[in-house]
Amino acid sequence: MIHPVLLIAIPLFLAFLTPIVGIGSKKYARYMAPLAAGLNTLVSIFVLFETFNGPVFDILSGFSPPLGIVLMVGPLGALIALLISFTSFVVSLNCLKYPKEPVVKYTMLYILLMMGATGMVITGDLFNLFVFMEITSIASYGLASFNRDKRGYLGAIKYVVVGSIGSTFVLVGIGLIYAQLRTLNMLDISARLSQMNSFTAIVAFVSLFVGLSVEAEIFPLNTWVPDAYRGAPSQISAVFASVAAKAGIFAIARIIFTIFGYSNYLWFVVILGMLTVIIGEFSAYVERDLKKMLAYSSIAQMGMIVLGFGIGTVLALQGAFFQMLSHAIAKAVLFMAAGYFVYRTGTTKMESIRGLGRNPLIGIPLTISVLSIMGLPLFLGFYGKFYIVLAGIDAGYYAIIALILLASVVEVAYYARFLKIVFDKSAEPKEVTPGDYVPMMILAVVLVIFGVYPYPILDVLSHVASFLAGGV
Amino acid sequence: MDLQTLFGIFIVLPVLGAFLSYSLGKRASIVATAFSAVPLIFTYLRMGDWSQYTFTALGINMSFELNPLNWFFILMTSLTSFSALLFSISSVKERQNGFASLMLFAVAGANGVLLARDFLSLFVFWEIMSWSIFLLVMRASGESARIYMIFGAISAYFILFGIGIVYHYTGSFLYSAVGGVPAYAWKYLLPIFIVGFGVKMAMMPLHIWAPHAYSSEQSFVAYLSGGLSKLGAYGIFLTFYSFATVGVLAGFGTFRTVTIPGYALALVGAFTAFIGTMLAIFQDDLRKLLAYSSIAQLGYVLVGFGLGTPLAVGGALFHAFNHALFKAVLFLGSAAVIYRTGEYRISELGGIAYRMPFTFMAVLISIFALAGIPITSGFISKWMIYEAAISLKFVIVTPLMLIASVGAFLYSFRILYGVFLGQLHRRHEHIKELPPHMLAAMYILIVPMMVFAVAPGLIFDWINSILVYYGMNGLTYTTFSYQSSVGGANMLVFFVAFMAAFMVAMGLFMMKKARTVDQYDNYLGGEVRTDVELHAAHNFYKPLREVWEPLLKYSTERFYTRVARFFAGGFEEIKKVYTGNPQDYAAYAAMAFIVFFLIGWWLL
Repeated sequence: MIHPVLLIAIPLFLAFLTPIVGIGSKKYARYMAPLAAGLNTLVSIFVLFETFNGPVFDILSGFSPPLGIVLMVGPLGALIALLISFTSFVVSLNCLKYPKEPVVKYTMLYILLMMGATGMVITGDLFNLFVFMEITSIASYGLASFNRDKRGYLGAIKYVVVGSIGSTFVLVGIGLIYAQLRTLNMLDISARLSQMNSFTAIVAFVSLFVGLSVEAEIFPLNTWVPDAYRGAPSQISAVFASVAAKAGIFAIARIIFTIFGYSNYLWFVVILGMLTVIIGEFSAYVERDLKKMLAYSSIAQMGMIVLGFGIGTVLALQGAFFQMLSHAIAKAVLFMAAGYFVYRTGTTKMESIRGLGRNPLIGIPLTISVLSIMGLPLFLGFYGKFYIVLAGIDAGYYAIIALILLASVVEVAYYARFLKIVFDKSAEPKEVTPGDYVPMMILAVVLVIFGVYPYPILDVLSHVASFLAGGV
Repeated sequence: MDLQTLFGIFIVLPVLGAFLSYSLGKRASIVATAFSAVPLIFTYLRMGDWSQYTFTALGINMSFELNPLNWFFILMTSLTSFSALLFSISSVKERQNGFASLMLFAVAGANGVLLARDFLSLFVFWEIMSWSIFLLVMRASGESARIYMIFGAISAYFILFGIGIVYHYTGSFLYSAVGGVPAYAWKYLLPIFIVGFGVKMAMMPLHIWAPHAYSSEQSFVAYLSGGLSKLGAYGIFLTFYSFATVGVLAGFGTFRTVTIPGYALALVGAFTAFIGTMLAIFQDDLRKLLAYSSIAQLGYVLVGFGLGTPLAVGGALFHAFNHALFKAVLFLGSAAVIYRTGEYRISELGGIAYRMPFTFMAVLISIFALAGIPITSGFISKWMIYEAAISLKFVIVTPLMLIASVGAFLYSFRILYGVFLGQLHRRHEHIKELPPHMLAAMYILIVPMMVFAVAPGLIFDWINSILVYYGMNGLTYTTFSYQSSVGGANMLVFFVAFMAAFMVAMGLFMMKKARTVDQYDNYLGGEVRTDVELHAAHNFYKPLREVWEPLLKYSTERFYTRVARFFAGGFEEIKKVYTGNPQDYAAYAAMAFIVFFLIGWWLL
C-alpha cells in the first residue's frame, strides 16, 4: 500500500533539497519541480486505485483519529490530487523553458504551491486544511510577484490583502468549531455537528465558506484574480487556475457536503455560481488584455463548478468534477500559450498577438483547448457543461440555466475572437521550440483522449453519490 | 445491416479518414473523397434496410436508426459532401489536409445527427458538426467564423435547453419518450426547438451568419449550403412530425385546417423566402448572392413543413433535395469562377461562358432548377408547395412565395448575364475550362436533377415512404406525374412540349444567316475602339433598388451589431466591479461575509 502521506512528504523533501542542489548547480535545481510533480503524479495514480476499494485513511504521528491528524482520501480527492500533480508536472516542463531568476526560490515555491494544494485536497483535518491553505497562499503570493515589475507587485498585493482576509475567516471558523466540539477531524465534526449551537455552526460554516471562496474564485471574493493572473509569470497563472483554484473549490465542496451537509444553503450557492459565471464571462468579453481575459474566463469556469456543486444532484456533481478536470487542463494550455505569446511579443495586448498561433504546433493544442472550454464534444470540456446544464434544468433552475447559456454564448463570442486574432493571416507563422509545444500537446492529447473515451473518469465519478451523501 | 456496419460506415469511417487525410498533406482531398464515397454508395444500396440499434459510446447511450427520413437526408448530404470533396482536390490549395479532415469531421457529425434516435447523440454530433464548420470557415475569415460560431452556439444552447426540458419531464433522452412531455410544456419546447434548428437553416431573423459563412471557401460552402443546412430542415421536420406530432400541434388551435404553429412557421418561411430573394437581387458579391438565395430557398422548405398537408411536406422534402443538388452546383460554379479568375464580384466578371462552356451548362441547368422553370425538378417541388398553399387559400403566404419566385429570376439572371454571358474581360481571355474531375463533381449532381425532372416518380417513392412512415397520407403520383386537388403536373407532357418548342427555336436559330464577330469588333463614330465597356453589370437593377430603398435601410445585421454594442457597454459597467483597489476588495470580502451570513441565518 502506498501511503497518501507521500504526496506531501516527497514534494516537501524535494522542496527543501532544492537549495542544497542549488548550491552545487543552479541548472539541476530547475529539474526539481518536474521531478517532484512527476513523482507525485505516480503516487496519486496508485492512491487513486487504492481508493476504489473505499476511502484511504493515513494516520500520522501515531495518534488515532479523532485526536491525531489524519489524511483522508476518497476517489474524488485522489482524482483531484492526480489532476493537481499532473498539471503541475506538465506546466513545470514549460517552466524549464522560461526560467525565472532566482531559480532556486522559484522552484521551491513552485513545489510548495503544488504540495500545499495537494494537501488541501487529501487532508482529513480542518486545521491541517488551514495550514496547507496558508502554504498554498504564501507560495502563491511569492510567485505572483515573481516578475518583479509593477504589475506583478500590484497583483500580488491585492492577492495578499484578499487572501489574508480569507485566511482569517477560515481560522475564525475553525476556532469556533474547535471551541464547541473540541475536535478538528472532519468526519468527527460532521458526526457531532448536532451538538453544536446552531447559530455558531452557521457562523463557522459561513466563515469557512467565505475564507475558502478566495482560493476558489467565487464572486465577490475573486477580485484579486485578474490582477494577480496578469502580473504573475504565465506559467504561474496556469498553476493558479489549474491547481490552487481546484484545491480551493474541492475544499469548499468538502465543507458543504462532507462536514456540514447544509442542503438548504445550496440554492444560494447556485446564485453565487451564476453571478460568478455571468460577471466573469461579461468582463472577459470586454477585456482587451489576453491574460486578464483568460483570468476572467477562469473565474467564469470556476463559477460553473460552483453552480454544479450548488445544484447538488449526482449528475450536477459529476458535471462539476468534469468541469474541474477540463478547465484545469485547458486553461493551463491557454496560459502556456499566453506565455509563448508574451515571450514573442513582450506584451499581453490582444492586438499584438496577431497570427502567432499560425504554427500548427501551437495552433492545434490551442484550438483544442478553446473548443474544450467552449464545451464542444470530442473534448473533455463537453461533459462538464453538458451535465451541469442538464442537471440544472432537471432540478428546475430554468431561468438560471438560461442565463448561464446566455453567458456561454458570450464566452463563445470572445473565445472565437481570440482564435480569430491568433490565426490572423496578416502575420507569418513564427517558429516554436519543443519547450513550448510539448507541454501543450500533452495536455491537448489528454483533453481529446478523455473527451472521446471518458469511461475511466466516469468510473471515478460513480463515487459522487456517496460524496454527496456526506462521505469522503 | 448490423450496428457495426451502420456506425462504422457513417461515423467511424469518416473520422478515420479525417485522421488519415490530415497526415497526407497535398493528397488529402483525394483520400477524403474516397472516404466520403463509401457512405454515399452504401446509403444508396441500403435503401429500405431500416433498422434500430442502441449502444454506448462517448460515455452515453446512443440510439441509432436508419429510417426513410434520415436515409433521404443522408443521401442528400453524402452526395454533396462527395462532390464538394472531389471538387476541392484542385480548388483548395492552401493546407488541404486541414480542409479535408475537417470536412470529414463535418460529414461524421452530420451523419450522426441524422442517424441519432436520442437527444444525447443528436446534440453530441450536432456540436461536432458545428465546430468543424467553425474551423472550416475560419480558414477563410476569422470574423465570419466568429459570427457563425455565435449563432452556432445560440442554436446549440436552444437545442440543449429543449433537451433539458424533455429530460426533466420524461427522464429519458429517447425520441420515442418525447410523447411523455405534457401538452402545456410544448408551449416552450416548440419555439425552443424551432429556433435551435432554424438557426442552422438560416431562418429569418437568425440568418445573418449565412452570408458571412457562405463567403468562405466555396467548395466547402457547396457542402455547407447543399448538405449541412438541410440538417436544420431535418430537425424542424422531426420537431413537428416526430416529436410534437399533429395532435400536439393542433392543440394550439387551427387556421383553415392548418395548425397555428404550422401557420406561423409557414409565415416565417414565406417572409424568409421573400426577404432573402430581395436581398439576393442587390448583391454584387457572387458568394453573398448565392447565400441569400440559399436562405430564400430554405424558406420554401419551411413553408412546406408548416402547411403540413402531404402535398406541402412532400414538396418541401423534394425541394430540400433539389436545393441540395442545384445549390451545391451553383456554389461549385462560383468556386470554379473564383478558381480560374480569382474574382467574385459580378461587376468584374463577364463572358466566362465562352471560356468555360461546360461549367456554364451545369450552372445554367441549376439556375433553371433554382428559378423553378418547367421541365426542371425545381419546378415540380416549388409547384407542389404553391399548390398546397393555393388549395388552402393562404393569401399572405402564396403571393409572398410567388413574388420571391419572380425575384429568383432576377438574381439568377445576374449570375447568368453578369458572370457567364456578356463581354469577356481582356484579363480573363486566357482562362481555361475546369479539369475533368471538377466538372465531374458538378455533373454528378446534375444527373439526378435531370432524372427527377423527367421522372419525379422515382423520388416520390422515397418521399412517400417518409410520409407514410410518419403517419401522413401518401401522394398520388405516377412515374412521370403527380395529381393534386389543384391539378398537379405531368412532366412527360412538359418534356415533350419543351423539346418540340426547343427544336422549333433551334431550327429558327440555325436558319438565320449571321456573321459571327469578335466582341471587340466595335466601331464608334467610325473609329475602332478597343476599350469599350459593353458589360452592363455595375449598379444592376438600379430602378428596383430605388423603389426598395426605404426598406433596404433596415438591416438585421446592423440591429444585431447594435444589440451587441449595447450589451458590450453593459458589460463594461459590470466589469467595473473589479476596481483594482485593494481597499474595495477588502470591503467586498466584509460585505460578502455579512450577506452570506444573513442568508445562512435565514435558511439554516
